[in-house]
Amino acid sequence: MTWKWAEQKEKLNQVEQLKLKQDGLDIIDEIIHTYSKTGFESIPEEKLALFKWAGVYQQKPKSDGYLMLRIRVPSGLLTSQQARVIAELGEEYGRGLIDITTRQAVQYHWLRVENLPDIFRRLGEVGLCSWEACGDCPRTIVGNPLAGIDPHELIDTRPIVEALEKTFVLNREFSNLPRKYKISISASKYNPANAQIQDLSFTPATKVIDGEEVIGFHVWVGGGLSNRPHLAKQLDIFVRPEQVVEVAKAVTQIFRDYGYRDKRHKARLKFLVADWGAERFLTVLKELIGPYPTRGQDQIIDWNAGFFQGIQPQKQAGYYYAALTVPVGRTSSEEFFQLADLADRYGAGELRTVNTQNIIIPHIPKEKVDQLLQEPLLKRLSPNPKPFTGYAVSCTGIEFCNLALAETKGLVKRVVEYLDREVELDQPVRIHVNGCPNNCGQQQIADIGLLGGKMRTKEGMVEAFTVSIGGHLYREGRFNTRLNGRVKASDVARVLKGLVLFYKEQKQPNEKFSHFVDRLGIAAFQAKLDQLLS
Amino acid sequence: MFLYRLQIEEEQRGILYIVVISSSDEKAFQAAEKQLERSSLVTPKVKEWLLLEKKRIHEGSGYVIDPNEIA
Ligand code: SF4
Repeated sequence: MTWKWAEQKEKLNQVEQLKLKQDGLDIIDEIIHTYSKTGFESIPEEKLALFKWAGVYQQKPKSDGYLMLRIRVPSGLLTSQQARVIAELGEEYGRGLIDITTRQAVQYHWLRVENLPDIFRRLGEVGLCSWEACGDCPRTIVGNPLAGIDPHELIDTRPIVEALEKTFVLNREFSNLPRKYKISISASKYNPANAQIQDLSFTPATKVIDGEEVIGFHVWVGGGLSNRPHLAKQLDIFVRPEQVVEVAKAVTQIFRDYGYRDKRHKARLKFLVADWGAERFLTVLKELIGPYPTRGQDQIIDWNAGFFQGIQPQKQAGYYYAALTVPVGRTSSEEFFQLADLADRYGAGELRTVNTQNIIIPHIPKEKVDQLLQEPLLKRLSPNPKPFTGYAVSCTGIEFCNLALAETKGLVKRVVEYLDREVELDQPVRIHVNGCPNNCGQQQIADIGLLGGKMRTKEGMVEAFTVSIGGHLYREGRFNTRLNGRVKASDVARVLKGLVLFYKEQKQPNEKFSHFVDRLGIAAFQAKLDQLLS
Repeated sequence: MFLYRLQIEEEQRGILYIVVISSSDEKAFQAAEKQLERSSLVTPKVKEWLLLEKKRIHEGSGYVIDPNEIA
């Protein structure tokens, strides 16, 4: 394909030059037919960069030749058959380790390039793939994990998610975008898909058209976290369910054709949206899609941050879903086999992954609920976790990530277990942790966000964290504010306990953490942190 | 090899930023110390050593140092 933006090659950054020589998707065949046979050592550096289009990254340390593979799980929808294949492959090739990500995807570590063809094939046999789960392309579509069973959704978004996946995955029209591209769609009134931090998102809305109330979506563009976070802007447009794909394609086309390709660090859609503003973006969009109605009535009434817990009623009378907590998203083949069995035995053979790194078993008839609650697996993956354990999110960190400066998953686990022993609270406090400024653990939207670095002390080099407070995605959303000072990893539990107790002692009844931060102000928290660190 | 960004607080000169190339986090501190010594007449007294970020090295890798944004 020839692109207009490719005509002035000198204006393209190095990665763009490489992508012009070869579409990232070509790498899939090369992995299967060449590199899986010739081995890791034979892979040229520039080809390794394209492995992301196959959903594959290098694991730390890069020289060891171990790989990470991410599987797309659109809207978190999995069948028990798919879960079993994920478990089998993890067991055979990935040391039995499975991570659930903050985009509802599933990740393996410890793979060798020789393993990939078999993994690709067996995933494909059950309708799964890792294509474009990484790279400059449309990543897995995040959605409402309760789509189709949610008493609080306006419509079932599963068919739309499927249509979006069909439109984008392996489509060479959209496989060379300026940068990664994240889409979400949810019709839940509680914004579980975190619409404001996506490149493109669809949120529930209604509009009276010709005297009739129509259910549809509002459209947000240009959100994203990483080290320069930006909240998405809502466009003045109302989109019917059957128009979502058309709009998504057009927005993606704008990103592809107008997105910045000269500087990689300014390539995400958010930079184009920040420069253009929502109005100009909509004008260009309408040139592609024609006239659309203006914005209707927003139907988001609150934000649940993507957290689901307990045994909850579905919209189908007499049926329940079990929302289980997977501590810091780390699970295993063994547990995935068991989850598949439980889904078959108690539900309808379905599972849902959640963007808070957790998992749901839907479709449990009322009479089976008590029995399910007796299952040994639910002791670890609890539907009623202790509050801090239940609201913790962690990035991969130093264990596998090349850019990490700090260990994260182990730390979070220890810290939240400690807090759960020490502090009793009637409101959740969402703790997110990142091992570097890239923010895969979405710390900017956390009540308390920790960002890892290193510090030199008398005892030598130690891991240390900054503390940020008060992030949320209620209404238009707000990123958290970083406090001055650093907390050694060994001191994180004590310091967080101090901050959480400060909230507990001074909060009003039912006051949420972010509202408390608004009321007291940052200075009060800074003073408290200073006191705890002194 | 990685490109590291460090922030230090030195008794005389206040907050300083140091950028070094190094193969490990530990060595990045050592390299930063050497760079700092080279840039000072008297032995610098550092109150705080922080390693803020590491990046893969390729042509054009770098950092923007914003003196107003003290980490
Ligand atoms: S936030 Fe940094 S350390 Fe954590 S997974 Fe992302 S890149 Fe790695």
